[in-house]
Amino acid sequence: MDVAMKKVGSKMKTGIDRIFDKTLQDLVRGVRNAKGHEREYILEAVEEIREELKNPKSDVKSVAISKLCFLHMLGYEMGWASFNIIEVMSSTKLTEKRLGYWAASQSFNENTDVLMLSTNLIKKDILKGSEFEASAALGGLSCFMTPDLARDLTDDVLSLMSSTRPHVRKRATLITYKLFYHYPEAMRAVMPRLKEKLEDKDPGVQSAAVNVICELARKNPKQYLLLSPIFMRLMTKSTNNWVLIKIIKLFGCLIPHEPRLGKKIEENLKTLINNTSAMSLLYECINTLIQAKTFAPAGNDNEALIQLCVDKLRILIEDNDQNLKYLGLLSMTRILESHPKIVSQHKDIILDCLDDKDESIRLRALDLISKMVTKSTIMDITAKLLDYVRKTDNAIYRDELVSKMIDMCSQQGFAFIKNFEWYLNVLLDLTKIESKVSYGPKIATQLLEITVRVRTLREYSVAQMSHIVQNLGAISVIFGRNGCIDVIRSAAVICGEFVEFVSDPKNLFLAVMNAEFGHLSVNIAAVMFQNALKILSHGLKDIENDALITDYIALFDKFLAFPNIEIQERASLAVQTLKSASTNFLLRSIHELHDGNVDFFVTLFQLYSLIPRGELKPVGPKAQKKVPLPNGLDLEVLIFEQSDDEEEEPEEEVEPEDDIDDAFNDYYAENNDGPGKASTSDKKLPLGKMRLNDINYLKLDDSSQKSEKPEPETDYQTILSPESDVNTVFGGIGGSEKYLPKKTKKPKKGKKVKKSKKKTTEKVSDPEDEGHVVEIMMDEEMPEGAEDTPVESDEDDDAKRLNIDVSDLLRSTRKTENAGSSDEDDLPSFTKSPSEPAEPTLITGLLPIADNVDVSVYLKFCDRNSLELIVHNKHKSRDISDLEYLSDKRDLPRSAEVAFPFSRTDDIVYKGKLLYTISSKSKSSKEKKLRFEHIITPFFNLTSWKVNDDELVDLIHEKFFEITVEQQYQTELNSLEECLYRFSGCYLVQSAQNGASICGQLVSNEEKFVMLIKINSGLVNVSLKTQSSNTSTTLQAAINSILK
Amino acid sequence: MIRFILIQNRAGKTRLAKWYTHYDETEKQKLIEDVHALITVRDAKHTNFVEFRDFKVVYRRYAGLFFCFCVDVDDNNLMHLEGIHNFVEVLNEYFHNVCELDLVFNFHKVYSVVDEAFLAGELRETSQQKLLKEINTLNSLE
Repeated sequence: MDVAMKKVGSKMKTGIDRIFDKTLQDLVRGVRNAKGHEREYILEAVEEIREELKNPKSDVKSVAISKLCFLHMLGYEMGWASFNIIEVMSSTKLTEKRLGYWAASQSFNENTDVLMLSTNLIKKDILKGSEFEASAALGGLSCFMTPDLARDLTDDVLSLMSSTRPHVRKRATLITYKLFYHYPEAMRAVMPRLKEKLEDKDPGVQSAAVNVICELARKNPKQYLLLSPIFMRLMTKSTNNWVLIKIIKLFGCLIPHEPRLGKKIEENLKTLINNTSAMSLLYECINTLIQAKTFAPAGNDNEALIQLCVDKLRILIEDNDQNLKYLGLLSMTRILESHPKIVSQHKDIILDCLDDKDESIRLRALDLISKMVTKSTIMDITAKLLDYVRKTDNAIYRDELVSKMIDMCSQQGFAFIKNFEWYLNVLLDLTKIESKVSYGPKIATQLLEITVRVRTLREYSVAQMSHIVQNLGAISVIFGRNGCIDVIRSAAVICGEFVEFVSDPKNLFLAVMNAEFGHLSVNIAAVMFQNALKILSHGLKDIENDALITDYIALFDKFLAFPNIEIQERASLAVQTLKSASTNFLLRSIHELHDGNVDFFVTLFQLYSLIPRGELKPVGPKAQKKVPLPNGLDLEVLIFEQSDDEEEEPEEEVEPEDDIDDAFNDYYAENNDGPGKASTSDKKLPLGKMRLNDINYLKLDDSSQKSEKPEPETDYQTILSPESDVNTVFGGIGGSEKYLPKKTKKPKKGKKVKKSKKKTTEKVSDPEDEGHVVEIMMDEEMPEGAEDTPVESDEDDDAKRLNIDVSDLLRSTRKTENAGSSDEDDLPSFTKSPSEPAEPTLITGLLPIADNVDVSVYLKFCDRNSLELIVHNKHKSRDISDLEYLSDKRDLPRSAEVAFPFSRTDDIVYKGKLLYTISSKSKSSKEKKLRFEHIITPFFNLTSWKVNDDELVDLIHEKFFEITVEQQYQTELNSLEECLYRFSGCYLVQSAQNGASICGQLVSNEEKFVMLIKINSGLVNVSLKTQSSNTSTTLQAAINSILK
Repeated sequence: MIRFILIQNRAGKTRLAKWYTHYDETEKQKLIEDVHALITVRDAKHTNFVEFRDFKVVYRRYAGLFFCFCVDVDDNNLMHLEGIHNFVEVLNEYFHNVCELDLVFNFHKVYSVVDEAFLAGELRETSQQKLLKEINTLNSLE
C-alpha cells in the first residue's frame, strides 16, 4: 500500500496531474490540523476522492479508497464507493487487491448489491490466486459473507481446507463458521472435513477447527457430543493454552447434555488446575469442573474436587487484580447453588469484597452473600451489610444493599429469622439513614408483614410504631427527606390494627389529630385518619364523659373543610360515628336510670365503634394438608371412563419399580448367564409379566384398539414425568405413550405416589396375546400431528440457524468411538441368550452410490465383513471393456452386472474411482472415468447385536428403550423390500407385507434400538425406540437421509 | 467469538474499528459512542470487563488508548484480555515502541496486523514471532 501511495505522491510532485494532490499521509495530517473546521475539510477531501475514483488508473483509485477508509473510520459514509472497491479488489497487483478486500471488509454488508458481482472474483482469488491473494480474499469474505456468497463458495472453501499450505488451511477452516452462519446447509458438506481438521498435523489448523466447533457447539451442544473423544485426546495432548481454554469451554457446554463426560475429564481438569500458571486457563478449568460437579449423577459427588475449586477461587478473590477478584466471585456463585457449605467457609473474604472500590465486585459479593445466609449467620451478615449501608455514599449501591438485605431476610417466608424483634430493629435502623433512599415502600411493607405474621412481635412492634406516630411531626420531616415516608403509613396501620397493645390510646389519638397533615401525601394522611378513628374507638370504651366526645368531634370537625375530598370524607365519617356514639352514650345514661340494662347499649355502641373484630392471621404453608378430606372424596381416582381390559391389569405389574437393574437381573436369572448373575432381587418376576403393551406389541382383539383413544392432552401433561426430556422436547408430536391406556392401580403410600408418576407411561398388556403382533400393527393409523417437527423456541436465533443435524456426519469411526465415549459403566453388557429359536436375518442390500450415462454403481452390503461394489451396464447395445476398480479389471457386457469385492473400512465416507472403456459399433471406443463418494449411514456400521423376536418383545420395555419417537417420512421407495435394503446392516426381526420390525446396535455408543417400519403409498411410518435421546436423534437423521 | 474490535483514544476518536458482525453504518457509530461512554468513566480500580448490551466489552488501556474487544457473554474474559495484550505487544514490536501517532498515520498497517492476528472473530495466530514474520513477508511483497 505504502509503495502505491508514494508513487502517487511522487507523481503529484512532478506536477503531471494537480488534482491528485493528497496522499493518505497528507489527508491524515490535514484532518489533524483542521481543528475547528474538520468537517469542511473532510467534505472537501471526499469530493477530491470522488474525482480520483473516476481516474482509470488503478493506483490512483486504490489511494483514493485507502483515504476513504480513513474517513470511514471517522464516521463518514463510504457505501457509495462500493463499485470502486470491487474495481480495486480485481486489480492484478497484490497490494491493491489486499487494499480492495480490506476496504470491502470495512464497508460492505449483506445489503451491498455489488457483492453479487464479486462472486467470481472471490472464487478466482481463492482457487487460483497466490496464497496471499487467497488470504486476502478469505479475510474479506469473513467480514462480508452473505447467504448467496456462502452458498456459491462452499465448495471452494472446502477445497482450500485441504490446501497443502497450513496457513491457507487455517484461514479456510476458520471461515467455515461464517459459511454455516449464513448458509447452514453447508454443514452437510463441510462438517466431515472440519472434523478431519481437528486432527490436522498443523496445530494451528487444529486450533482453528477447535474454535469453529466450539462456537457451533455453544449454540447446539447436543449435536457435537459425538466429537468428545477427539476433544478428549486433543485436551490431553495440547500444550497451547488458547486451544485448551476453548476445548475446556466446549466440554463445559457438553456436560449438561451428557453428565458422564464430567467424570471423564475430571482428572485432567484437576491436573491442569494444579499445574497451570495461566489464570485464564485455571479459570476455565474451574468453571468446567463446577459444571461437571453440578451435573454429576447423584451419589457421584466428589466433594474434594469442589473443595479444590473453592480453594483456588479464594486465591483469585484474594488477589489484588480486580479482574481475578470479580471472576472468582462470579464462579463462587455458581458453586453456591450446589455446595453452599463449602462456599460459606470463605464468608470472611467475600464480606471483605463488599468494601471493594469497584462496584461490579461489590455487587457480585453482595449477590453471593445474600445467598449464603443461614439461621446462625444471618444476624452477623445483616449487621455487616447495615454497616455498609451507612458507610457507602453511592446511592445505587446502597439501594442494592438494602434490597438484597431484605430479600435475604424475607426469603422462604422468613425461614432464617429467629428473632423478629431484631429484624424489626434492623428495618427501623434502615429508616434512619440520612441520605435519600428508594427502598422506603419496601421497608413499610416488611414492617406490616412481620407484625401481622408474627403474633409475639405485635406488642413490641406497636410500641415502636406508636413511638413514630407520637412524634409524627419530627419524624415525618426526617422521613420526608430520606424517602421513608411510607413507613408512617405502616406505623399508623399497625397502631390501628393492634390497638389493644397501645398503652395510651387517647394520647396517641390526640398526637395524630394534632399533627400536621399538610405535608403528608393524601394517601398516607387518609390512612392516618382512618387509623386514628380505630385508635379512638378502642379508647372510647373507657370514656365516661360525653363532653370529651364533643371535644373529639371538634377535632375532626376542622377537617371537614380540608382541601382534599378523601380527607373530608373520612372526617365526615368520623364525626357522624362519634355523634351517634355520643347519642348512645346519652341514651345509655337515661336507660341506666330506668332499669339498669347496660348491656343493650354497650352492644349498640360496639356496633358503631370501629374496633376491628376479626384478627388478621397468616396462613401456614402446610395448612391445606391439615384439612381432612371429606368422606367419599378420593383424589387418586381417575375421573374419566376406563375400558374393561385396563382394569383387569394383574397386580404384579405395579411392582417392578426398581428400574432397569431389575429387568436385567431377571433377564440373567432366566438365561443363567451374564455378569448380573447375582440377582439379589427378591421380587423376581416371570418374563411374561413384564411384557408391555407397546407399539410393537398389541393385542389381537378389537377392543384393545378401541382403548387406544387418545387422552386429553392436559391430563397427559400433568403426569408427564420430568425425567423424560424427550417428551418435553417433542411436545405434542407423535409419542405412542399418550395414546395408550394408563395404569389405574392406586399407589399405597405417599412415597409411592412419586414413583408411580414416573411410571405412568408404562403400559401393560395381557401376556397371552403375544405373537403375530407386527402384522396387526401395519394397518394402524399414525397419531395425529405426527408430521409436526419439533420447535425449540427457547433457543436464540443463531442456535436455530445452526441447528442442522450433523450428528451422522460427525459419527466417528469405530476405533475412536470405542476409545472414548462409550461409557457404559452403569449398563451391564448385554449377552445373547444361548438358545435362539428364530434367528433374525441380517438385512443386506444395494445402496445406489453413483450413476452416469453408462453405468450405475451400487454398494452391496453382503454380511458384517464384506461389501461389494456392483457395477451395472445401463446400455442395451454397448459393451464395456476394461472396467477397472483398484487394479481389478473385468469386462462388462451390455445390460449386465459385475461385482467387485469392496474393502470395508471404518470410514463413514466410501470413495473410489472406476475406469472403463466404452465401445460401440459406430464410434471408436472411448475411455471414461467415474468417481464416487458416498457417506454411508450408521446402519452400515452396526455391531453384531441381535435378538430374536421373543426376546425383542421383552426388551420393548419402557425402561430398556426409554425413548420412543414416531415419525413419518415421505419417500419415493415403493416396496417394503426396497425400503428395507436401505437399512442394510440391521437385523430384520419380523416382516410382513407392508411393515417390518428391525433391531440393531450402534457401534459408537453401543446403544441398542428397535424400530417398526410401515410403508404405505409414498409414506413411511417409523416408530423408533432407543435407549437415549442422542441415539434417537442420530438415527432419525440417518433414517431421514436414507428414505429420501 | 469477537464481535468487534475498537481502538479509541480518551477523546473518543476511533483509531481502529474492525467488525466481525454485520451492523449498518449508523449502528456502528452508535456502538462506537456507547463503548466510549462506557469505558472512559472507568478507572484503574475497576475491572477490565463491562457488560454491554447482549455482549461484554473486555478492554485494556495503554497510555491514552483503549483497546476494546466486544465479545460473547460466555467467552473467557481473561483469554481476551491476554489476547489484547498479545496484540499490543505485536504492535509494539512492529512499530518499535508504538505510540498513538504510529497508529494514526499507519492505520492501514494496524488493520493488516489485526487481520493477521484475528480472522472471522476468532484468534487466528497467537505466536508473536509467527505473526511478525507473516506481516513482514507481506510488507516485503509490497
